[in-house]
Amino acid sequence: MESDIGPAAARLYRLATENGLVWRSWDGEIVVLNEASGDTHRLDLVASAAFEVLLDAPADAQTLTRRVIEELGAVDEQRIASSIETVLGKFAELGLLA
Amino acid sequence: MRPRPDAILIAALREPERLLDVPLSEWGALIRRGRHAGLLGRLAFLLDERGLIGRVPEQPRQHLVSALTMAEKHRRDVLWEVRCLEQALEPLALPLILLKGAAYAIADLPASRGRTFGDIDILVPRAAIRDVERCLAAAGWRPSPVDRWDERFYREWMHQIPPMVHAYRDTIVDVHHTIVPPTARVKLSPSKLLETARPVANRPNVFTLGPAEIIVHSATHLFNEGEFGRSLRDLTDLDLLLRHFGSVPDFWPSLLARTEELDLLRPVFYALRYTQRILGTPVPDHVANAAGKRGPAGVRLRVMDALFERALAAEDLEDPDRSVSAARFMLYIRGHYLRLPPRLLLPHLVRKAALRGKA
Amino acid sequence: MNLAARAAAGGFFLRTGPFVFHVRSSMPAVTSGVALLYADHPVTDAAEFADFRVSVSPASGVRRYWRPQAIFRCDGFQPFKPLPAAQALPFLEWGMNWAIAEHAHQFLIIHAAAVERDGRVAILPGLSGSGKSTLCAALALRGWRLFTDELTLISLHDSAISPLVRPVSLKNESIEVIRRFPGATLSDPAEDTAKGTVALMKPPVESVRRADERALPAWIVFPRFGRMETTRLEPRSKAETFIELANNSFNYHVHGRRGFELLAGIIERCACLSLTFNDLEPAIALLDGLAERSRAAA
Repeated sequence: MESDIGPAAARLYRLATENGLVWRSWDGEIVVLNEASGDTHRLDLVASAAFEVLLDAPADAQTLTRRVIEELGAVDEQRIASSIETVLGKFAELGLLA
Repeated sequence: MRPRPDAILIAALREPERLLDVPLSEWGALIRRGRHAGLLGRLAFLLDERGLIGRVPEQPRQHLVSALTMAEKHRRDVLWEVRCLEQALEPLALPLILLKGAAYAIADLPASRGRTFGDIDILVPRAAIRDVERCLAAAGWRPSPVDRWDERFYREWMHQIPPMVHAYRDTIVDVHHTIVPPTARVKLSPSKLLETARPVANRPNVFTLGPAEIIVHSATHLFNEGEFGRSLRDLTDLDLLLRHFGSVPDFWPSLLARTEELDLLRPVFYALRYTQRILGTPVPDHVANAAGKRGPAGVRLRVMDALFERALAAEDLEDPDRSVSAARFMLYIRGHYLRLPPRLLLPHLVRKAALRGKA
Repeated sequence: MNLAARAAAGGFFLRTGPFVFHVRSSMPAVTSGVALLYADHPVTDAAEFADFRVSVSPASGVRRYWRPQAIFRCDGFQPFKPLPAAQALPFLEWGMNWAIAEHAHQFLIIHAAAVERDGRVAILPGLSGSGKSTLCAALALRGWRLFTDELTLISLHDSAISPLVRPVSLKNESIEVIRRFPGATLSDPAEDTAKGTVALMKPPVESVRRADERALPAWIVFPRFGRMETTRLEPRSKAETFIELANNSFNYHVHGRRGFELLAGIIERCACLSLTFNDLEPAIALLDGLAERSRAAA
């Protein structure tokens, strides 16, 4: 069900701005309201960076990871890569992804 | 007839402009009645819509603003809940048919404005009930705790499964497979309701009942179920629905035809009669006459008028009216009489009474 | 007729901040308590409008002989189960708080104390046990203007906070601590409540007199009392403060986008701090210092 195009086409993740996402950033931490669900979430540094990257443009997991690493200037690339997966799962659960 | 104690509230529902003439000293009771009847948000909406809310004196206005804010929150919440239900039931590829408040909200009917919403009611084919329960459970809804008697009562005799509560959101969904109990003396084929379901704009899988069916269901719910706590709110829903659908071509003939076909003339007769008498709802004469032919007449009608017009009131608990509670109690017994076969009626009422005593 | 007698007769109208309550009770613990605590408040026998009609009355039934109980009603509705009659006075206060928190969505309401100095409000959120009410009472007795010890009412239009000057609810050891402050007037303690022993402190007359003067928030300070801690004031994350205020709010979720924007604006303009303290005096000195620096900077 994931993809009809084939395994090569990676999924593009897009923020569900149609849900009415309102956010503020303080010291690199984002607080976001999902107007549709009525829930407000505080994102940690990695999630906040991922959110900012996705605000620019939809991205697949690989691009997202690369850009988050650029944003954070982080060295532990392996750790960021694995937390991006968790972050995307969390975003989906919170209705932040389209 | 003595004037209704809630006369100001009724007048305001009919002509919101009238609220501007209410002296400050009468606003307190008006707010208490409106709040208890679940109508404060609706009053606020009616004023706001006309640009008049700013002309209400400061102190009572704050209560109206508060109620309007709460109604807007309820509206957002109910729309989100429908989204969640859509997602949860997606694997079944069933049409999601919304009933009552959720339907009014998703179709953006005037009856949804300034309103609060409780449980979400959905209608699914009887054969799909188990699958629906399974999918809801997978998405976080849990059967609400009910004892064995209630479980049996719901499944065998009522038209729904026990309500399911969402584990995180605490929201409640009532899954129906028909709109009157299978044991009710008036029979109703659920397939007739499913046939006329209408899609909601931009939501391919979400449906509401057709206009005539919405009225029939709402009327049956209000006049046959026997719960009158928020009955004036429900009557204003009917009033707004009738005013809205009344201008749709063919609505009135199809309402009569549907009512006849489904054998639900009695509750629809009451709905037309009391919306008209209490809220001044415009009902064409030929429709009122046609519905009236099958309704009660003479002394019986006067008795029903006395009962319903008392029960359909907005109470001020600071100034309780015993005749309202008495009328509601008699209609509660009547509601159970209409819904249940006689051999179940007495045990059920006795049990309910015993449970109430314990609470 | 004195306030106690008026409460027992037809009841009286009490104005507290933006609300008018009609208060009735035939229970002596309530009437004498109300007479003591609300002596400086604007009270009338007639009013055209009351926001809420509240009463505390003795429960009927045979149990009243060996376990007397009190019933709270708001607008004829009974939101809580009866409590032992000894708690009737705090019951009235909790009930009045409930009425506001449940119905006043014209405000964003935070479960927090609030005090003001030089036109700047400090919001003190905190769970019970954090020392929030004790600190609030102490500050109110040391020259800060009392707004509230429980319900911070924020305007959705201009972020200003409305004073809701009412008695401060004190628990257990803090009762004796506050009683030692010069100028403190406390009700008789009610024992064995769900929160332990509770006494109410009469709000300072100056705060009552200026109850219509709203003010903007300047600090959000999370107090935390710890006997073994050193007293200190530390900055905290704004994002975390946002979420904690939202979680400590009675109705943030009711306001949707407006609530978010309002709270974000408040977080933006306020200094967000944690105050850990083992004693009231140094804690008061730290907050006085904050106010002093703001005044000097202005």
